[in-house]
Amino acid sequence: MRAIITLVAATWTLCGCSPYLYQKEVGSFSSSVVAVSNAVTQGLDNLDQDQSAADLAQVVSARAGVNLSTGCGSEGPNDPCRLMMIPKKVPDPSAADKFDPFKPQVLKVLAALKGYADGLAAVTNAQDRKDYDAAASQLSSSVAGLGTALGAVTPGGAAAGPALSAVVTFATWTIGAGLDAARYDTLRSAINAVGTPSIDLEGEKASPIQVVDVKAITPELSAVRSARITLLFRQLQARTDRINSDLSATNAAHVSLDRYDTPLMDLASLVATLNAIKGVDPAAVGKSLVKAHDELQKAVNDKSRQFQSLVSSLADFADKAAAVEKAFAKKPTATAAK
Amino acid sequence: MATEKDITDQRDSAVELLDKKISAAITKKNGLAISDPRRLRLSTTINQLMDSRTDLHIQELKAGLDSAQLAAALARITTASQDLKTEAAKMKNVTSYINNANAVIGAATKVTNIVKNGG
Repeated sequence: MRAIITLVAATWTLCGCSPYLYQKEVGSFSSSVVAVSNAVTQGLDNLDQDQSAADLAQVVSARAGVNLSTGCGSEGPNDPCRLMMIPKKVPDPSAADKFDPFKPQVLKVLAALKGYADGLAAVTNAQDRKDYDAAASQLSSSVAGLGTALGAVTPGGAAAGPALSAVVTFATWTIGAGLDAARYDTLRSAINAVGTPSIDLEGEKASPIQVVDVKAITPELSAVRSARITLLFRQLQARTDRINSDLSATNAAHVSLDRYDTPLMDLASLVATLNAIKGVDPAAVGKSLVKAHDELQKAVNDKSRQFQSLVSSLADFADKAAAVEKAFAKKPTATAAK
Repeated sequence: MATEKDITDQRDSAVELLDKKISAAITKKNGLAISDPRRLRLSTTINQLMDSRTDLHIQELKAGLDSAQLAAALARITTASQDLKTEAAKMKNVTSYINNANAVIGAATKVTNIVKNGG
């Protein structure tokens, strides 16, 4: 019996029908999707800090009087406190304000993409099969134990234990193989549904994952990147304008450390943050996501199991996703100009 | 009537044009003496140009989020996710069922052994 099961199991594995063969690759894809999602949400979260730092730098740069927005005294969470140069009484719309109306839609897209990655990870989780095997093995032993106990009180029933155990082993193995096959079919079917061109997009058919990239992921990354560049540049410009106006008002040799060296040195981290965000290529991140999914689709449909292209695509996606997550998590770290 | 691609292309061109204008304004500002009052006016202009560029990106995002294509794509992805999770849960449910059966059989074995040993 064991020999037959081993033979069938080996044949099953060789035909490439196990969903667990893809656990590592799906895990990598899933982690990268989470990194891209984190990049967008962290980038959006950082807009408030970017805005505050830019507002402050502009007030300091102008050496102007300061007004507080009504939000400074309000308890409403959606009315942030803003600094304004006198005579301004109402702040310009902040970058975060511009995103607010459709932030729920952005989060919905990210949740859908993460839900899909989670689903792929769930169906390729080999631990589930290990848990099943352990439970099945225990069942076989338990049934054998019960059979032996019953055999001892029933005339002629001594062989019942081993026989029942063999039946249970075969039955649970068959059920396990069936569950694996169903998982594999669902994995392939889901990846094909998401990766096969089926939606009209600019005169051509595009896959759902392509559409999510073109209509949401790349635009989300582009918009957040642009907003952060605008605010970081605004802060940088206000600070450099202040340094220059101090220099022009005084003989350079007499400008104090506090008014020149310190503010200038403070700019280093700001420039580094700006360059890190500028270094992100949103379209390349989106294309990498689609390419990784395309290769995953090829792999689950290809029994020759030539995974080299999949591995390199996943590595590229992982690199790009990690880079955008790291860049967008950076904060406007320069301290306020003196 | 402008196609979807025409609108996207126009938006991309506008972003490129603003990029060039921002670079030109920074170059012009850099050419002025640090005491020149036009520097501050150019700072304001550059800020406005950059705001406009960001607004274009936000418009593109909004158009994408509101598109029928994205709604269709999300519907398919959500269905696929649900199928995957439902299938993954089946093995866990069967495992849980077997574990429960093990507990019942273990109890039955104990009872049988008690009976066998005469209570």
